[in-house]
Amino acid sequence: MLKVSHLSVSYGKEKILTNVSLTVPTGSTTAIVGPSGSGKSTLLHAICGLITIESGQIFIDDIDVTSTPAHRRNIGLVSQSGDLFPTMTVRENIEFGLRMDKADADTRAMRSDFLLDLISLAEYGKRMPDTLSGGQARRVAVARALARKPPLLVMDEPLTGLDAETHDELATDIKRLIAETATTAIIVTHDLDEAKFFADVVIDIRSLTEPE
Amino acid sequence: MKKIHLIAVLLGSAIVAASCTSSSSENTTTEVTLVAYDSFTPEEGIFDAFTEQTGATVKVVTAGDTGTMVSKAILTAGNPEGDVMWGIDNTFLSRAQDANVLSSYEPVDEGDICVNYDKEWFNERAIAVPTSFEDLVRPEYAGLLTVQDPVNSSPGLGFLLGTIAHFGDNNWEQYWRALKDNKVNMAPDWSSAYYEAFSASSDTGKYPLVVSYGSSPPAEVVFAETPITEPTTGVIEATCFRQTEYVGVLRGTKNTELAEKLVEYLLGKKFQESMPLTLFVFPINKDAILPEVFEKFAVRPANPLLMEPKKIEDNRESWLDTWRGLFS
Amino acid sequence: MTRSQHGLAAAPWVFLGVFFVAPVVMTLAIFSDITVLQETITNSFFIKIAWFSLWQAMLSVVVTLLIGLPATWALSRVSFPGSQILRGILSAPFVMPAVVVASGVLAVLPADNNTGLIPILWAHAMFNISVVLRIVGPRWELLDQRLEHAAATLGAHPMHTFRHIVWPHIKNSTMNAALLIFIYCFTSFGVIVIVGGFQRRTMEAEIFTQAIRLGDTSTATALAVTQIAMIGLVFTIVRTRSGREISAQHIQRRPPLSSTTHNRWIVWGAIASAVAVVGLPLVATLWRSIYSRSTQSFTVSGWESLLDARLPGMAYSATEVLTNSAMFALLAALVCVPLSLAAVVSNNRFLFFVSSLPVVVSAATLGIGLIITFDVDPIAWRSQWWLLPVVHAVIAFPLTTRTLHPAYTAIPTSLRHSATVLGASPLRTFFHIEIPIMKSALWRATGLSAAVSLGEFGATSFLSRSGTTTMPIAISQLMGTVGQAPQQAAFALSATFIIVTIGVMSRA
Repeated sequence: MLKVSHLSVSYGKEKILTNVSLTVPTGSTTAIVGPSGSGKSTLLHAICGLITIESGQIFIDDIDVTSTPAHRRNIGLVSQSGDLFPTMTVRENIEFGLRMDKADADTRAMRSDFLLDLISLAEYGKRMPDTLSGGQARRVAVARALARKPPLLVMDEPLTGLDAETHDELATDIKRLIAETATTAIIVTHDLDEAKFFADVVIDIRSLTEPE
Repeated sequence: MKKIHLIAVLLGSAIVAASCTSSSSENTTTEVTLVAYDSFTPEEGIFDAFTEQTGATVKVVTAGDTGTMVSKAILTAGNPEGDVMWGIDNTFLSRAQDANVLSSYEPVDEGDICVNYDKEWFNERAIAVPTSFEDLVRPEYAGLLTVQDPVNSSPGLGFLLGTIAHFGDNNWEQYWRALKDNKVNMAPDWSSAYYEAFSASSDTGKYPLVVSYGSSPPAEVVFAETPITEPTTGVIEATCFRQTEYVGVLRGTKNTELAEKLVEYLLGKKFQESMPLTLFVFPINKDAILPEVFEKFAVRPANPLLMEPKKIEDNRESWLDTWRGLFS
Repeated sequence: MTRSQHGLAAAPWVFLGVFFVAPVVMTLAIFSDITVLQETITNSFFIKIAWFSLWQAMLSVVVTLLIGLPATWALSRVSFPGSQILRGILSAPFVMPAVVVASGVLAVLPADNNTGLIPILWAHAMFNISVVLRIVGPRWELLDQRLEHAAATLGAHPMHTFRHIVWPHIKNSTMNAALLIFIYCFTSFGVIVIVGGFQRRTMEAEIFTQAIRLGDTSTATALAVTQIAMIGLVFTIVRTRSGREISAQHIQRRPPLSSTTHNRWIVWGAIASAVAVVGLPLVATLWRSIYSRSTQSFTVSGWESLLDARLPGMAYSATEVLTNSAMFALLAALVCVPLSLAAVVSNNRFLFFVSSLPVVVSAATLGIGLIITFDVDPIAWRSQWWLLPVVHAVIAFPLTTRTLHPAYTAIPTSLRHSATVLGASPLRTFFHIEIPIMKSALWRATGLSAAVSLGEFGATSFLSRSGTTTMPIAISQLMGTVGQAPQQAAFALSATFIIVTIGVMSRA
């Protein structure tokens, strides 16, 4: 499914990732763990095409996407928190990707109805993001990422900053969503228990750097 | 917090300082205030002799260009900003008189607004320099002249009045049509005409003829960057329109006696002789001796075009309206 | 706190009342004439001028945004070495006198073809790019980059990301910037007089023509009133159309240029075009200060004359002029900033409204008012030197209150409450908590008021001076004098101003 080979990234003079390689099999959920500042988010951003990499290659389904811009990679991304579009309603947020694909209104409505149901927020379509609770907003973010049926879903600390109850509830929900949509997923977290709960494979990011 | 204290202290002291200067300047009668236009730049120390004679110092207050100065004087007529006013010219005199700005006035200097030419340009091409208004509309001089907007520029107005004085009230309009057909360039003000469009001042200037002053050639010599002995420009005498500047006592001054003494001083030989090289005007006092560079290069036409201040004031608005009709 | 807040309003009220409202009301009361107003607004010549003022201002706004927004994006979204200097260069013209900016545009264009619409738009864009930079930039910096990331992974092309994500975020501040630019350009005076040519005239320029050249104060006043009405109309239309501002997202570190997927050529292109628009005239001015167009050779005479006891043909030295300008700028800031702060803290809506009026009232109206109001004892202040910085402070007032207001309202109430609970009096809370938080806004306001003071040309031209010639006046006088030496001195003086401003602005 996803293959990262010999990836290096730096910010200015600071080396963030050096010679990282990673393979994620189709249908699996892979968790990447590591302390903060170890480059987990950077790895995800590189996979999504949001930052320029220094060297290395990225393949999705054996196709080299290294120079494909982010908007043509079709990878679902769920960020840490608060990345819902503040000027759009919940439904508009979920439908945004479909709009970019020029899907017609009926298709969009059907898909968003389905997803709103799936995340148990059927009544919330017209709400603005700033009226949602933390847990609700995360669920919308996951639904939005899944709307275009991306073959790969990447999640960057999707559970940080939530209280214990919401945390557990959301963890169960996300796991269910991934299973129901049969999506290959990568989840980045600093919490080993969380990683084990979600993933088939748990990898420490520090182990990905190949010696030169 | 300390910063705020500092600000308060500074503010306070500024106000105190301001009130001190105001009270000190108003209580003294040993100061006489001369209101003048911005470009009034007399010789340094020229008023020392006046102070010796009368014991009073001269405070020069500049009040904008001539138009601004006169407009302000009209708005404050009877309660003037100073005692003596320098430099109302014949194009504004009548307006000032109508508003009763001055209690007395006399001509103090004169100069001419004339078409200047780029000597080198005409030499190189072996083209004869035009010598009259009529020449300027001939086809061989098409697209060579730049003039200023008479509505917003004093030399521009002077040139327009010159054409009216020369061609008469009924024919000047026709002359300006011919000028327009002959591709006259219209600049917004004197600087852009003289420094941007005039070929003698700028390597990219395209016009070898420009409306300026009869005293521009000597000024070119005096203010040359590298000393030159001969100006690169000349004056077409037949186009010269006489501009007379006046000095007068402002109505409402409490210093009438000193004010009159100052007017007398400004008309005296010493001051009059200092004017050519500082203000680039001719003295009105016949006893004043001209400096050499002026004697040599400044043009003082024997029969300049003249116009009564009253006639200018009475017709200015309609003339300018007519002119605006032609050019916009 | 409420009672002391009302008390605080007193100082700015008195200040604006005495030095702004009174003179303007005096002018309107004496020179307003309903028949003249009727004649003026039906006169086809004036209608043409009003129409030109309107469309050139709109066009100026469009041109400025087209050049300014990409540069703002590059400077606020991407960090790279040298961005501070570039920011300084782009911000510098805002504090420059119109005569410096406009003569720079004159210097860069061929001499016989440098007046008219293109130079006007160029000079206006030069002035106002920094308005975009300063108003839209901070807002753009607040946009959470993860929103753009989310949009990109959802298949949005950068153009779509701009339209759906970025534009809604910066729309209001862009509208605010556009409105301010519109008002500046609509009431443009110095630029129009220098590069407008004799046919391209704004209402403000015509107001001066009527009041000064033609001595028709009633028509000038009628035009001034019409101008206020037109600006008021545009203001109302724009304001009713812009919605509420979406709450700010949290601040983040700007990614270095090397690590973003933005094409570096786009970033450089955005910056280069803005720098060209702003920089070319400035470079041309520096060039003109060492190259004489008439002798077509290099010369340092202009620079040398800056050290002389008197500038060529003038009654003052360059040092005097620079000192005067610096002193007035400092005094204007010292008067303006504390009073604006008081106005902001007092939170009085009507005061706030009045404090924004100096932007729309013609400088001529204020100038005429000053000399007919302050002409009798004990307020015979019209020829006092300090009236100059005071008037500058009045004109800067709308800008400084608008700079301080958002900073003040952004202070969370909880902070005040905790300070109070800890035993701080309202005054101590103000000085120990609020002032330090507003520090950067206070500096910005100080810079703005000093800038207004350095460049103001309109109202001050009505005030008489005695030995207090300022930079813009000196430069235009030098340019208006026959001879090469004054010309070179004018450009050397402008060049000095440019170098100093860029130095200061890249630190501010």
